[in-house]
Amino acid sequence: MKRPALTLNTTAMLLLTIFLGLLGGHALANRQPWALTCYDCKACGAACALGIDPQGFVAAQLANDPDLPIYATNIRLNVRKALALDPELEITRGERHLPLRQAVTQFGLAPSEEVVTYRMKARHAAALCLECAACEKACVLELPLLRAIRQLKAPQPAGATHAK
Amino acid sequence: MTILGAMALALFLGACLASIRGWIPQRALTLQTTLLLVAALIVILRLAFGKPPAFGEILGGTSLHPITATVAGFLLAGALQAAGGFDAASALLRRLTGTGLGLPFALVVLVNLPTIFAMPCGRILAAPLMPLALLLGQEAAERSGDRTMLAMVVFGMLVNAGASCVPSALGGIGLLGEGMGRFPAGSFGDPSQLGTLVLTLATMALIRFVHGRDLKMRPPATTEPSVTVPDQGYTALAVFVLMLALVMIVRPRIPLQVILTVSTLMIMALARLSLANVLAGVILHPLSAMIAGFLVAGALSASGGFDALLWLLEGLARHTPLGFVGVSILVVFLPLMLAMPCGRIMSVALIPGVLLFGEKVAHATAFPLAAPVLLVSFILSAAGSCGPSPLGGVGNIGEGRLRIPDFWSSRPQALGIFLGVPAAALVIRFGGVSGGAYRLSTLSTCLGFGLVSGLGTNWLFGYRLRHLGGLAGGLLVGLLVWIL
Ligand code: SF4
Ligand code: SF4
Repeated sequence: MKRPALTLNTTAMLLLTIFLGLLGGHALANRQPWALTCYDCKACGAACALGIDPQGFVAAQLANDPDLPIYATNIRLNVRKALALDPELEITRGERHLPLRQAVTQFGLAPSEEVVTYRMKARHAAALCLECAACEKACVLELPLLRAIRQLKAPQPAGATHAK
Repeated sequence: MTILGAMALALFLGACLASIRGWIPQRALTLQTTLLLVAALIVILRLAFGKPPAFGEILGGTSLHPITATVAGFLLAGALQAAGGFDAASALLRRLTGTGLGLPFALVVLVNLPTIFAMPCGRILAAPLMPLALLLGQEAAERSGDRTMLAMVVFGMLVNAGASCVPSALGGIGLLGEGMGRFPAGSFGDPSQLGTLVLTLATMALIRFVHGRDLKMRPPATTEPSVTVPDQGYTALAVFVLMLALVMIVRPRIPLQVILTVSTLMIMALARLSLANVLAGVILHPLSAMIAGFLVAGALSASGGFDALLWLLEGLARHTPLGFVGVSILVVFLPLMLAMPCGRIMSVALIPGVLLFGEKVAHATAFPLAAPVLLVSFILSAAGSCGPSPLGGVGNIGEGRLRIPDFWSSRPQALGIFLGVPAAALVIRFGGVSGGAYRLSTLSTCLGFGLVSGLGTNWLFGYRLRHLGGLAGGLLVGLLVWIL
């Protein structure tokens, strides 16, 4: 391998290693190191009555991104409340999933009309979570998911390391 | 479907094709670097389209479990290797050829050993099993006067090793699919192992009857492997088998990585190994390929690449004579056409798109198991494709040892995979998706496939179809597939 190619490829491998380290770093910085043990098997998702994918909360901790879009497929909100939460959250309408703002203009939804959510920011899903702990019981490793949920619930500036 | 999504998908598929065809030479840009550049280009495209870079989504889409399980699996494999555990397995098998069961028994067990002791990367077992494959292959060749038999044993074992990373409980690709598709843990294990038995047999048959006819090789002179197995080799092997049984049967609510690490430490203490011995077992290539795959998958997902893939597949299914079934076949064998040196690249990058398409197929054909059938077949085809890959696939190991032209084995391996993958699909089609439980119906399926494998081995190596060795070996393979 020629020198420039060698340098480029070595840099790429180092970047990949750093990328992996970043996930561990975020888990530690957010004081949720247990998040590293998640299998990403989604067994917890089947237990949630709100259709939330609780693994998304783990992913938000690892990515240090409370705005990470996660699935929440069965939360019913009226349009007014949903718009106040996030006009960009995705809802289900028939067979389609589309952003709320687009649905409102396209279908002329009234503020009192009910919509079913599909995907939303992790911190918004955390705010709507019932804290019933069904996901914790269903988790194959019995991980303390509520810890991640409560931390995301706390008000925080978007993109910042989560409030403790 | 957005233009950004279509461009992102085209970039990814184009980069894979360019690497396979050699338009991007590996000595200039390795696959990992190429994939990293693709991810960077997709982020730049996002910016050009006035969208934020979505670093959070790219990071959050990474699944750490298969990465950490693979590292822990490699460390355990390193400890086993250094303690002589693999040599012990070879020696045990060798001893069995001296019994009334003879060569067919040893052959059927040997070529299927990688999928029984499924490791997170097929290369882990391919190297230590190679001396025994050469020895038994030579014996079979001399007995029958047909030198092709040596190539049959070597490439049978290698294609089996290539596909064996699917069922591995130590961080196999199957785990990825089960997690991403929300299927029960362990549910892809048996179907992929049974499919692997068939693709191994098919590859050996293709070499015997089609591709091996005018094969010229200069194999190394084989002698009885002189390695004396240290006592701790057998103990290390026993610890490993017990650990596998514990993981499979008890399924404790402890992270797998912890169990693997404890087993590694036990073997290290038993065999007085140093950290360096164990670290030597880590193969970085599949790890970095997986991380790069996750990065690209995250970038594709955030930019609508999977929506574009779905749009394309659905369009082909609805508006061409291929229909949903034809396009499903195309999807399943796409990794074989773009054979990467590590199946994880295609798997990680495309599983979300395959799953979405599987749901569409289920809807269109009113066949509820379409998604798992499609996914298992896709993953097995992707994993197996590291055997025939022209970018340093597992098959190269055999070509080097037998001194035959590079990539000679690509075709029989690819065709063997093509014939074996439907078997995995059929197992799910008729057995459904269930993980963990030891069901009697699954036992009979496993024994049935084992028996076919044994009968086929007897026949391919010129023994009576009912030779006890092949039959007993096949049944043992079936039983071990069911248990492990
Ligand atoms: S605590 Fe309850 S509502 Fe909240 S994510 Fe878990 S299962 Fe769903
Ligand atoms: S069930 Fe537990 S281990 Fe599996 S994805 Fe959910 S949180 Fe992670």
